[in-house]
Amino acid sequence: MNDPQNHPAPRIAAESAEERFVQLVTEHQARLNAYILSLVGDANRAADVLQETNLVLWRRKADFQDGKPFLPWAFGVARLQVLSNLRDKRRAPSLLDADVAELVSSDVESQAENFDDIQSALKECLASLPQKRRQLIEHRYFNSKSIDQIASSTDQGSSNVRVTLMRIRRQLAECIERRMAAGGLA
Amino acid sequence: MNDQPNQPSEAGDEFRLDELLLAFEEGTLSEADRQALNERLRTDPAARTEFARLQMLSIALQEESGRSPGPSSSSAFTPQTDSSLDQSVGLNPSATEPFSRIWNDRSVLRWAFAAAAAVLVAVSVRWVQLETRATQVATQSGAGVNLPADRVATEEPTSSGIAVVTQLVDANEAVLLPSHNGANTIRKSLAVNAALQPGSIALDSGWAQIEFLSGATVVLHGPAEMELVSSAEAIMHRGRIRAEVPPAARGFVVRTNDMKVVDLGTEFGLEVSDEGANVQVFDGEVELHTQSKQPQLVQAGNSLRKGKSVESGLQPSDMTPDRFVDAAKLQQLAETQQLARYRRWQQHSESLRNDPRLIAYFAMDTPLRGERFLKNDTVPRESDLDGAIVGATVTEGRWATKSALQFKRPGDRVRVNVPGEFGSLTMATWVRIDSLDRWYNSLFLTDSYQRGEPHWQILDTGQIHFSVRPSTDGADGEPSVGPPHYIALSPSFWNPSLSGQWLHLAVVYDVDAATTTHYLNGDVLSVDHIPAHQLVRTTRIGMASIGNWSTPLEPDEHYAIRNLNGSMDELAIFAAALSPTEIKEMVEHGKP
Repeated sequence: MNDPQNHPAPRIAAESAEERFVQLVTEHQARLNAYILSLVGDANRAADVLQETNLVLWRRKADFQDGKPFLPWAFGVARLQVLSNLRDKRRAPSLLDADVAELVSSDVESQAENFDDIQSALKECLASLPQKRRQLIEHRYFNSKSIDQIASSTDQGSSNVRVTLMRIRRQLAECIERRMAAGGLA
Repeated sequence: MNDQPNQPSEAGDEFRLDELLLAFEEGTLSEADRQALNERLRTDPAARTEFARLQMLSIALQEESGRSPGPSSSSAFTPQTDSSLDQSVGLNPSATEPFSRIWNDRSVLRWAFAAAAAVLVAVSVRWVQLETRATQVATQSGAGVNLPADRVATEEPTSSGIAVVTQLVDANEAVLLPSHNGANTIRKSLAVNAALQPGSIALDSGWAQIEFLSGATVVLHGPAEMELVSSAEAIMHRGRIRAEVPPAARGFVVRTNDMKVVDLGTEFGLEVSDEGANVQVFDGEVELHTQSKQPQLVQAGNSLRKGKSVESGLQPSDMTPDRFVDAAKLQQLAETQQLARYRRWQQHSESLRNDPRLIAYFAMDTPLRGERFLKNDTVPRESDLDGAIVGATVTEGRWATKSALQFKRPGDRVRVNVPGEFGSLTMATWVRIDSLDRWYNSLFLTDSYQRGEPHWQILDTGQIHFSVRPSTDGADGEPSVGPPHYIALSPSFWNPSLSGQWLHLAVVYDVDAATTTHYLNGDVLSVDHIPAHQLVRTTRIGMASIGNWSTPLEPDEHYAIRNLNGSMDELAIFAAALSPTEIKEMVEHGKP
């Protein structure tokens, strides 16, 4: 960030370090959310953890010196918040045990870093799905239909729908990787 | 790309990560399976990578649904517990957006990741992963190269045309009528090279030449209405035709309401009017069927007239071959019309060159043959903006007298360098697309795609893709700094019957209105509203390519193939948002 030639000023020039900091936190919300949600699993819990993380980031902003990469630092803060949430015995068991979350953390971090590109690639991959498959995804993810609901409305067995859904997810995952490997930036 | 999950470590064993994660999303993951999942992640690094990948896909899917239109209440903003953060966020209006969006998505997200431990239903799905295994191998063997290998379960494209429009001369209101069976519900204008499905076409005045796939050529004289039944059969409802039927197309049939003309390899005219029908044979012979009589052969030089009523018989009448324009004469008429259209475009183009809003303008009109630079035609002349033609060949443009550039091979492109900073942008071009072979088929792309740079291209799905990058590259290995780019994606406009037609495409990136508008042939395809935090007010072009993408390459590096497969005739780039009327005007003055 010290070399203005390589790093043009942000959209709206931040007038103070604080503003610059808020801008960074804001820009990286989607990535942080993806990271936390992947590890925590439950959306409500993830939302709480994200708020806590934002809070801690704000309180510790002095620790963060401008010029140091923001994202690894923020992921580090988020990781600790995730782990303390998962270790909280008063809460219902979560998808991952805390020790597993810690192990998976670095893989999730490298995915979450590229969340924006994944999102763009997904948009295109969805568009290239054959119509029936796209509809299935829409029912499941956009219209929040359960697999059983989809099965009965499309007159198939639930296990059929489940298998098809897994195949589509697999196709999408592969399509995203290819798009990203092929284009990098679109 | 490098991690190949679920294999080989899991080959043959019954552990299925994606199955378990799906059950978790569904709220049906058993405690035993949850423990198995954790145990696997503890011991298998490949499973961890796969876990991260699948979770990210799910979240991206949820986010995608959050973006689709639907009710969302802005009051769902969750109050921050720390007042100082609250205030700071509030200071920056654009900053609140991602925050609030995530909160708004909470309700959407909630259902998906239902608390797993609450429901204990055993899942017993055995899924043999044959299909996906096969595609993984394909992906692996093409490592690093963009094989379009397994375009998700695509079917072979089909086209159901039975005829093609090959000439339109002075044609007014040449349209495809809505069909009775509902297969076609709107009136569509006919265009040269358009493929025709079974259905009726109408022409108010002028001429249309229709070539049936069987080989018969029909010149239709307006006013007329003809129904295309198959590649070898048509019904004349009213008007005049001249049909040329080479030997290969013998047996071509034209019906009227009470008559059938079977062509035995010849040239004949048919007129249907209020008085009845008239058949004139210019060459060869036809077989004439009426309801009352046996079929009769009619030789060249004969003209027969039949009255309106069913009972009326056939009467000899005068031959009037001049009233039936043939294909050769139509060609002459077409050339005259072409010349007139070309002149009209030239006049418009001359005045366009002086438009102060133009950044660069490639009319591609001056003799291009043999030259390897593409003249920038803005006035006053700025030769620095001339393009360098690489690979692309000179071909016929919208009119026989005008040239265009053809892009075919992966290397074909025109290099340009456009310095400066701009605000709103408009790009407009005439293109003839042969096919959309690539994932991205380039129209105009800046080289490295830096902050403020536009990319304009067509996806293999036929959707037009326009984006301006709002972020900057991060330092080595770091993610980029700034919000993700906003892609304005038009609905798909493409079908293979458009192949070979000259199309006018335009995109208007309007900074003040925060919109991106895609146009096809002067009509709005889509309008996208760009979220405030993704809007870039200052645009730049710099080094760029027409018809391809040039990435800054290290030696030996692979590059994505994004060349256009088709031709381009005229490209204008404006530093302004042109109005819909102005776009329409360009089309009216430039259509072939």
